[in-house]
Amino acid sequence: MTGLLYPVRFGGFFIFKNTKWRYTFMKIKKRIFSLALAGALTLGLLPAFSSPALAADGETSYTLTIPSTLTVANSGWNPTSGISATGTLASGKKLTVTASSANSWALKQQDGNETVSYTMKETSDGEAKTAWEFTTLPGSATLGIDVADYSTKPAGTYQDTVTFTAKVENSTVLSGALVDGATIKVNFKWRGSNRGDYVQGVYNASSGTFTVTKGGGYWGSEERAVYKVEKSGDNIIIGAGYYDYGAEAMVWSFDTTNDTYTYTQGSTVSSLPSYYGLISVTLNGTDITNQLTQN
Amino acid sequence: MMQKGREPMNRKPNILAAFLALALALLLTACGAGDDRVERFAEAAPDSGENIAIPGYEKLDFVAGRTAQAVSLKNPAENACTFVLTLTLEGGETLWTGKAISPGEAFTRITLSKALDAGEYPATLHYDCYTIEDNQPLNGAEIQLTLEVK
Repeated sequence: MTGLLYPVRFGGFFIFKNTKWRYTFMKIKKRIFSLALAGALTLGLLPAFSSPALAADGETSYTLTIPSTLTVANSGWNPTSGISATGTLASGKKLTVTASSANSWALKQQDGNETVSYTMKETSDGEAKTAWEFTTLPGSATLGIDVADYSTKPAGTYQDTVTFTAKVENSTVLSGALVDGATIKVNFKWRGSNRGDYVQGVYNASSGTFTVTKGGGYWGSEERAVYKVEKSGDNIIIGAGYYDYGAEAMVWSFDTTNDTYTYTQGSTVSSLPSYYGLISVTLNGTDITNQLTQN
Repeated sequence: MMQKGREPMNRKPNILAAFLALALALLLTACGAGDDRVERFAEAAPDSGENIAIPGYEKLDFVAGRTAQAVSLKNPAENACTFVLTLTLEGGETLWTGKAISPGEAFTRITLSKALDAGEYPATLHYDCYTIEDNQPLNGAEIQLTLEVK
């Protein structure tokens, strides 16, 4: 079809088209507009979806390597591949790893109720070890299991599943008291005397509790002395009292996340403050008193 | 009178409606409403299978008010096991459970069971590991972390 030529602006250039092209251009333009409108409506339905570039990794990231299985070849000591951690720890951070057993550290018979107990250790002659702390990366620890005698057990498949739990935490002095086997000790003055009275707790990471002992030449030898070392959330509560934690008692609450503590004293203690009070706090035999701040 | 090259008037709304329907279907597919996205980041290169490499995080960043989240949750290529990942909030509420992923695969998008308000949430990323051959359970891991929702 022929027609008159007329100028059309197209992309900044003028071109000459005949009327047939002009009609086609208008039709395409209208169709494009319709599609664009539909596209706009479609886009309006899109949620504010962020791209995969949205950060999923934090400042600290790591890879924890664990044994896939703990193979039992015999009763007694069975070494396994250890655990290790690689990656990056932000300043002031540490990586804690604990192990737990689905069957309370026992291999359970697959088609029955028999069990064979075992203990996770670092070395054949070591103590039970189910918690580790890495203050720098890479870090690693040896691992093995000490299996009880199963010679009298019926044949079959016995198994257990071990779960390793990892957490990045603030690297404080007091956090070291929540490592399996750590010993925290409070030495204090009692009734005006310093005769080495103390309360001490050894931490069991598996149970989250302390084994508590007391000692000393005055209060420590009293049968009516009461004492405690307890984990309460991120705090370690240590108390020493006479009969109870009422009038003649002292209780310290140590915050393991920031190396601070609060001190609560009974009425008798508060009326004679110079006769009682904290002398020192030690962790695994090291005096950490000056690294703590009383609130 | 119908001019040459011009479509009948009553077909235009149908074409537009079809386009909108197709666009909406593609949108839902692309955004994966209710679906997670798994991508391969490396070819599987399993080692002896004696150990399992578990990726760990101090925190994960999420966007407030929506369930679809961009992530990078990997099964390292050197592993010889599959991962089933579960994300739970403190207290045990399950926020997300993924399908099994093979070594060299990663979740790049997950859909939470509920949207979270802005804030910080203690959470745990659970790794349940299984043999590839016969899906037998292996040792697993839990990564305690913080969800930073903004």
